[in-house]
Amino acid sequence: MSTILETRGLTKRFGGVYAVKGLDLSVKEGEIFGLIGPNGAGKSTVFSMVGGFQPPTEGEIVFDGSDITGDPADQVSRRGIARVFQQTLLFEKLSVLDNVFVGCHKEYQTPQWSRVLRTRAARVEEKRLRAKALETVKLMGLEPVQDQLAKNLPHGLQRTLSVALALVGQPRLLLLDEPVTGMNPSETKDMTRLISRIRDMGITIMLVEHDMKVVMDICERVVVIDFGEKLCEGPPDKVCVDEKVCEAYLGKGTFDAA
Amino acid sequence: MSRFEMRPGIGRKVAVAVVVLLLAVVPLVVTDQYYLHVVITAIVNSVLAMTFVLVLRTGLINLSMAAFWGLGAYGTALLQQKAGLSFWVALPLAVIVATVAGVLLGLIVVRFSGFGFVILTLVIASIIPVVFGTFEYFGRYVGILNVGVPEAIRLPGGIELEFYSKTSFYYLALVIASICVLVLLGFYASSIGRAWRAIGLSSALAQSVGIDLFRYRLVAWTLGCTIAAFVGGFYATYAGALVPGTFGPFKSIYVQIYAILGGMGFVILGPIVGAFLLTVLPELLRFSQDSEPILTGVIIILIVIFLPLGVLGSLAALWDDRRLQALIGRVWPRRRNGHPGVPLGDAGQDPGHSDLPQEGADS
Repeated sequence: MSTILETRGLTKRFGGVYAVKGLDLSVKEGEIFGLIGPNGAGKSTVFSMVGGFQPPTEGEIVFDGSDITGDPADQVSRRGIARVFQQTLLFEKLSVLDNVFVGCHKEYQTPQWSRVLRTRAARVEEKRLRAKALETVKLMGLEPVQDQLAKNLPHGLQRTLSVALALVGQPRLLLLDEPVTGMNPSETKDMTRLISRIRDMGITIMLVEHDMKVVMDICERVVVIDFGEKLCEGPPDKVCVDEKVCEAYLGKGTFDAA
Repeated sequence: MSRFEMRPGIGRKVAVAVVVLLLAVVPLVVTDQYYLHVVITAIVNSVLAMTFVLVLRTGLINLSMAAFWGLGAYGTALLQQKAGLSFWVALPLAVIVATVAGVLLGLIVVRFSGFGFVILTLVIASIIPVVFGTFEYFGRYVGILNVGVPEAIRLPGGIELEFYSKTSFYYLALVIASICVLVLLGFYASSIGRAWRAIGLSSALAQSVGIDLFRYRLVAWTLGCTIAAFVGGFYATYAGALVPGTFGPFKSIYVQIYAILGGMGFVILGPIVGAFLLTVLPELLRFSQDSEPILTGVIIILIVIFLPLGVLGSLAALWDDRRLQALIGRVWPRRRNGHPGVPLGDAGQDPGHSDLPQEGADS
């Protein structure tokens, strides 16, 4: 398996505070990679930097052999990295289908002016992308609610929709920021199954998650970070019993002191 | 309303056609020259408000449209007077000049968002009229007098369209406004319009699906400048005299109020309704020149309190109200477009609300 995403010495500093400090990660093509750590460990900052929403202070990010350090989010997206945000972010006042349709945006190939003038080629392309959006909506099981406004959906479906929005652009790497947060057990189970299915479609997945059960169930490799630094790396069952990890989550010597 | 948003449906086209038809017969009804003047002013204001909504769609509050309106007006008047060009040549040239100015300024200001953008556009709105008022070339604060009327158009068959009467200018205004509306509708219906909408709803999510914020905002801004300059050229020949004060920041703020009053969720009809109400109403209520701003102020305060969604937004919310829908359903039963078993929810309950840019949405 080749490496699809690599960070070298990735650092983000806010004033004198390090959110992420010298982080080396390598994500292999086709795996489900988990990034875990206690609150405030810098997981979301890593995602922000990989997704192009924040430029790193130092270090570099290499995606599929090319340096994408500091590229803006829309260019990163065009390269094939899709991000699902932690807080469910949707185009709330658009219908489910229209949301996914907007997700197809980068696939337009006809020149802009021809789309304003609605030339034949532009109309054909538009029809094709609409069909593609509908296909994704069906694939994700959102067909029964396709005409509803995104804001009127229950939480679980909103999360599914945000994944659909990312998937329709055919990414090679999907960044999932806490995909099961706030979900009930059955929604969590659906999402877990969905994530495995996405991987089976050949899309590499990198996820940040608090729910350790989900991480144990689906991740193949896990990196634990704390205070922006890597604590350990390995398969989830090994990482879980690592002394340093327990320390980070529970605190050192807590039980002795008590 | 919401389900057809991304595809302007037949309903919207019919609505626009009806409005245009109604506007076309106005001179037959409004025979008083003064009121016809008020209507022409309202048409110009509507188009300006459309440019405000256009840029607002991308999440930016633009307070400089009156300045580009002024650039179009001054450009047209000066090209007619100093270069001796025909109105029909001067107008497109002035529009091009204003568009180039728009792109150049846009390259700077569109990089900002939120308050930074508002302040920068306000600066542009303040500076351009001062430039007109300072330099001899622009006629200083006396302005430009005796702007020529458009040359008569000779149609095949010996018919000549002359531009002297208010009625002829009214139709010219209507044609110009219709061109603007058609151009805007073309953009809104295309992928560009969808990208604008996406940026306005969530700039971070729009970026994450590959939409370049700066580029699309620049296109919206530039198109706004172009359209404002286009009606500016018309205004120059219609008014016949230009003074810098007309194009000051106050005008831009009025333009914003027209858009808010009409309902910001409605890109074409909202500005038309808002501009007509706020142009015609103060004229009808006017008993002396001085009391007009006071009355307008009262109207605006009442709007903010009672119609925060704007006139059309409130009507849409009323229409989507479940009780009203139940009542209609009893009188005239029909299948709702929703899915069986899925509650209607609060669809359309707040069209316009989250169209306001969200602070800190982009970083």
